[in-house]
Amino acid sequence: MALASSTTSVLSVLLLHLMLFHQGRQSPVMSPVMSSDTSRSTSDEAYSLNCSLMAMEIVKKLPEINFTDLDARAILRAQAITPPAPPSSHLPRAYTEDSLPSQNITLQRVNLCEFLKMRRKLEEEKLEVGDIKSNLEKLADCLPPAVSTSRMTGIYLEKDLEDFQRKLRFYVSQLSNLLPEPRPPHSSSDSVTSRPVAMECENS
Amino acid sequence: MGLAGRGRAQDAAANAVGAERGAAPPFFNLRVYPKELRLSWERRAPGPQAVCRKQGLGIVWSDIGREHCRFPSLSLCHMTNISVFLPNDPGATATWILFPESDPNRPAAATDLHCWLHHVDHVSCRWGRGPGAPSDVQYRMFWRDARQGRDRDRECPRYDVMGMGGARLGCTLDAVLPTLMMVTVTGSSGQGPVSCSDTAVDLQAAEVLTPPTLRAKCNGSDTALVSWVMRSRFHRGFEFQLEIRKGPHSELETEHTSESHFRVRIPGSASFRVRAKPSDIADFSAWSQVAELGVCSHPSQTSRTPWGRKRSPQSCVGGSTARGMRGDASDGGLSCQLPIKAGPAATLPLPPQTRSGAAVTRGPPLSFADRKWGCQSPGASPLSVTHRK
Repeated sequence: MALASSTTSVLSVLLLHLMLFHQGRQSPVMSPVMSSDTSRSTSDEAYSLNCSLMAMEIVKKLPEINFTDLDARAILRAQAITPPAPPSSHLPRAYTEDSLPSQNITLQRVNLCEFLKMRRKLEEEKLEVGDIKSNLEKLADCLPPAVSTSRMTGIYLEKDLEDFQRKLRFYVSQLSNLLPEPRPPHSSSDSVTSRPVAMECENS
Repeated sequence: MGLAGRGRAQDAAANAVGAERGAAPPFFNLRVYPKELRLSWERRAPGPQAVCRKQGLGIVWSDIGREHCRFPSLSLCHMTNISVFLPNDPGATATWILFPESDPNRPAAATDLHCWLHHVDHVSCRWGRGPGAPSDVQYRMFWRDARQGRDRDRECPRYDVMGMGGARLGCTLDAVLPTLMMVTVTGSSGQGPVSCSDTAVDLQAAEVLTPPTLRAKCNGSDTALVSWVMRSRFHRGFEFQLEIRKGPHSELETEHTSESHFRVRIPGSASFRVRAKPSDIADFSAWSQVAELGVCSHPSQTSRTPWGRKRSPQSCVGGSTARGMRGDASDGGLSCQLPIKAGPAATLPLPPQTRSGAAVTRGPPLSFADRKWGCQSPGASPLSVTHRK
């Protein structure tokens, strides 16, 4: 499955928005590029609300199972394990204390890919995963665009329904920032200092 | 690169197993790099991505394109079986190593080491004296971010539990805390070596939630606006359960909400309490202090819940009570009377029941209707709320 780049995502979202508008529906869906501050703040708020609702909907459909695997919790919280910096490192101490933010974002996306792949496998086994497919796929648009190009290792999921549900519930509950980074209105040809990297979920 | 820790490997046994089956397992020369929390190995031939498991716990993927696994945490004290295998054929491919290789004196080591987070940013740890500990044993506790090596250990600043012979058995610390923390208790004695004990603590799972701070005020002549503030170090989304008693003899009503406020019609006086449950944990916090509203004849009437006060282990709090029930003049003149009839003595919030980091919070021993003590601000008018616990 291909997670769309931000440009493609913006265009598809705008198209959807136009379709909904012509059908007379007023509730905004996803519209990250706006022409005015007022409408942008309203749209971002609605965007955030929808992402939160999607996450809540997913969580509601998963059973409450206490999740005590500490290593898995750390990986699902997207705390990337970083090797210790050598003593002569010029990096500020903060970067050696915590994972770099870009690594965490990448890890969140990698984890989402793992869940999407396993959901498909479990469905093929006729296991009742719950009606989460649509919201789970849309979660990709709620995550900030990844900027790290390094291939990261995500969560290990067993082909076991309870393992999947337990870890997914925890993962979704940890996605604290579901809003995309605010993007100023600009054309697709504008140069930017860092372009988001397209992330692809590899098919199993 | 850190030095590889000495571990007892299964290579010989693995080779024996492999020979028996006609093919050796794909992995050999296992070694642990403790500073990097890494298990490395070599392969006989290129193959699919491997996975690793620590002593029957969860599995982690090896890093893509690399012949190693990295763990978010790794015990440096307790001998742990760490294995690597191919997920599609674990039986035939598993190879393991024990790390660390030796354990000098486990019976003397601290036992049952467990920690929990309370009052938002305080961590308390407790341990027991080892059954085989000599009489002069002394313990020291250290903590660090679990992703770091022991060179980043910081010692407990305040030991607050002592056992027989003056052995330290507990610590409370208040610091900038990592989410996954490694706590180590070392031991020393003039009579010989003492093994260390360590445990990884997921503070998010081990947080004993401070109950919400509740406030109620009149909003019109027959409506109350109940609102609350929830403070937590690690949790953001909550579900709240609000209990309402409209009048002293009425039935309890319960409302559920994810908001931090609730508007309710009240015919006369009413009392409220609320508790919180994070979205990723099954258990609720303890109940908040009870907020009472008299008849809403004046729109600006409010409850006298302490609002927005910074909590400390010594302050008077509702629900999970802390040491020291009595406030002082610096607490805005709020005095907290000792309970007339209380349950178990109010000390630190109880730790989670499970030791593996799952949070279990417990409510106060008194029932909602059995309010016997409380905090009352001096000079409160007869029609304002008397805040009682």
